[in-house]
Amino acid sequence: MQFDEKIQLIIVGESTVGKTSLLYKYSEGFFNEKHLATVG
Amino acid sequence: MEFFSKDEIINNKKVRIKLWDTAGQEQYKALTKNFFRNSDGILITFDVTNRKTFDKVAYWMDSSVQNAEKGVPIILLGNKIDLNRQVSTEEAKKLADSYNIKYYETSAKNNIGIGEAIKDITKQVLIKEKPNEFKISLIDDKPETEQDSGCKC
Repeated sequence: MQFDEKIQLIIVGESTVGKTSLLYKYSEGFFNEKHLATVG
Repeated sequence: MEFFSKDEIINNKKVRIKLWDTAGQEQYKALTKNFFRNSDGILITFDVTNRKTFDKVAYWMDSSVQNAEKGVPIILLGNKIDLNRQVSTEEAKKLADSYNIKYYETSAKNNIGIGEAIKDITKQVLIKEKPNEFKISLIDDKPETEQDSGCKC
């Protein structure tokens, strides 16, 4: 797949604030009620 | 570390946005620090229903400034606005203003704010890295008042 620009963003913040849920919703379009904590 | 990826069309250019997810727990904070260095932009997130997470924004801000490249765009996200809040919009906006960064309120569940926030920081990154290509046309993209309406406050 072709693209013109590539950038890297990082999301940070305390545990359970919803970082993974936000990225998942944005990129995949789904909200996962059952997501457990991200580790590592 | 896991990452997500999405393409957006900005200024008629296809931009691939790679989003690195991190673990918020205490024991992983050292690991996260290393990732700041390779990031073009940082999203600092707290939960509006949990004041303790808002109190830690200062920590994440300091950590970002210390470990990331100088002048990297940063935005503040107040998430879970679909639930009962402990932190007001005004309070969070005031904190963001004190750091001279933008504040967006989001709900992953109800899909509020997140797309706007990511597009905003992506534009900030592109304007910073390629001012000649992005600056003028992005200013025309939206009126300033509309760009500032991220938190509707």
